[in-house]
Amino acid sequence: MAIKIKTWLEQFFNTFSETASPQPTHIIEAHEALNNVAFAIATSDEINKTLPPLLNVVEAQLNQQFNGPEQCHVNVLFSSPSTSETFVHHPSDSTPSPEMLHSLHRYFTNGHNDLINDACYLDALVEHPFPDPLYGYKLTESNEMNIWLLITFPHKVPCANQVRWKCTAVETLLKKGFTAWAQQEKKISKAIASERAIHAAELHDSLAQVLGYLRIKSAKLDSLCQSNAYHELKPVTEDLAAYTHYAYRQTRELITSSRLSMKGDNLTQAILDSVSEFEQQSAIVFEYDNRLKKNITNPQQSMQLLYIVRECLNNIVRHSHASHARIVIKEALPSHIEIYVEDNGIGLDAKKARNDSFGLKIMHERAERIDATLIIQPHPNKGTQVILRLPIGDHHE
Amino acid sequence: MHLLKWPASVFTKGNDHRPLGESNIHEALFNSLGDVVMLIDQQHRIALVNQCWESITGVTVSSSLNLLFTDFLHPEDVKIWHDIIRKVFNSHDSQLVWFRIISADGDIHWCEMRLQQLKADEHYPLSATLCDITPQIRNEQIRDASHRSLQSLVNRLPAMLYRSRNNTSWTMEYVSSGCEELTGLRPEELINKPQISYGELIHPDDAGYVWNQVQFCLQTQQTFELQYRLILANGESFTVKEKGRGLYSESGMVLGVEGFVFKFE
Repeated sequence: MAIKIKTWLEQFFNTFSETASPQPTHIIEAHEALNNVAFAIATSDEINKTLPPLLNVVEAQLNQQFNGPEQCHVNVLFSSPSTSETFVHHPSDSTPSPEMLHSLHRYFTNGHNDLINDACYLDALVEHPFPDPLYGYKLTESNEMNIWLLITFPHKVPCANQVRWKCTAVETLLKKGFTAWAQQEKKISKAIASERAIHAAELHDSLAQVLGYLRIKSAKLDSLCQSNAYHELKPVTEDLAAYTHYAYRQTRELITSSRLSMKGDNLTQAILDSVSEFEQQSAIVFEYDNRLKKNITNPQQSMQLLYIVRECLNNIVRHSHASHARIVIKEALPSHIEIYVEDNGIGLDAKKARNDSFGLKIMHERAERIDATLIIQPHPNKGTQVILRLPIGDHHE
Repeated sequence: MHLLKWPASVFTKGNDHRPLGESNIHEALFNSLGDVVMLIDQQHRIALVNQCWESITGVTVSSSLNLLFTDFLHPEDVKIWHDIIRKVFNSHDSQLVWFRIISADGDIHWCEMRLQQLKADEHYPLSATLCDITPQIRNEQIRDASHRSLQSLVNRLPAMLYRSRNNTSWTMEYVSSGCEELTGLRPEELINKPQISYGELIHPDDAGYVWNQVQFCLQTQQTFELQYRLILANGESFTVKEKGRGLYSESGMVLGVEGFVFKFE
């Protein structure tokens, strides 16, 4: 019965050293690989480019754990609750089927938002309308963006506990990576917004004030030079007054556009805000028809497009004598977006009589800067039609 | 007795013996309707739809069958569609919804849909009626625009427009936003509030003059023009000008007073 304490201790340390024996090298390597993935995500500048090769690694690691027919596919889904956009990132060597993309888009954006917002994981065994059985883990959560890790099993589906247990390491590390990435992105966009706010305020206080003063003075000078005594000066002062007036207006628009685009670089929202703003100044019926399913313009394009649309709205309110105006934004094939701004007013020819075509000139210049084509023409029925066509690169769901 | 029997034969499927006229009548009725009647299957495809569909969408019935209903919806309204389906399932009742349908020529048609389950105990298929309400929406937009335009004009004026009751407190029934600049009070603080009244803002030395002048003009049904002082809550005092008139019933009874007040500088 009795046992020597020495023997007991020896036995104890033997068992201990057996369990604590160094982990097999492949586990350490796997862990290191996943750590590197998390680090690469956290420090990524362009997540769209960084992610696909990393997902290859993650998929390979997971498939080492699932044997035979239980091989899985890994995707990462970004869904934005505020703009109803979904992006699915997949490993560079496998693309999910269009049906899968379609049902993911439908599930994560349309009508299920509150269900999705509350859930932290999705089980394949629960009835979901996906072509392939799917497990999902929420990696990060915020108002702007939810990030999900999705694992599909096209052949044989392991049970929920198995999947959860085997995915824990991947899930934890990806969670860390994406949380850090999301924080970083948030910091950057905050920094950009505050920088823009400073610039806008600076413009407002300095340049706009001086231009405002110059505008009044140059207009006065021009009116003084209308008399015959100064007829030689007249063309110069007219130009001076017109250009100063325009410089002033452009500065004001610049300030407004940078304020508007600060609300999250969302072109369609910024246009909607502009429509509501101009709506308040007139009795014109504005119809806003945005058929874009998601934002596909970059900040620079958005800024120029917004400026051009605002210039059109400005013209409609000031000069068109219209009772109806319509703004349509839609995708046109192949890979273009088109913006129509139409009114039923007196038309362009009648407006041309006025001595400032600056607005139109600047609109053309701005369109050129982003390789967009701008057509300003009489509307087939009545009034004016502005068509803005912008080529956009390929974009994936 | 025979008469009681014939409806049964109409509803019996695959009855080859029924007269031709009877078999067509339901289809004719279905297609003669001025509203769209449709059936939507589990994948949200159009399983059945009547002729009226073509007049709204410009797409023939035969080429619409088996297409997703959401293909016809305005992208911004797809969420409304999914929401309403969930509502139908949760309430087990029919639901009414408005959305935009894009027709073949790219035009927008505002539509009102009533949607319900075909069978009480099964989610799908869904049955729906749909009608084009674009003209009503257009009229509403015009009304809204003119209301909005008038509203913002009134609220931007550098004066306070009002309609008040004819009492010494001058209890306000309506004041425009100019009220805030003039009195420092928001319109909702002055409207129908017995605690704070416009009458209390009038300088005590001028209150009698204001009352008497207005009463005189109301009796003679003339417009009145006044100049008096206001004292605000912060003690600030200044002179205002007011022009107004009475509101009378046909029998000449005074119903209220309307006018505008602005700062006299």
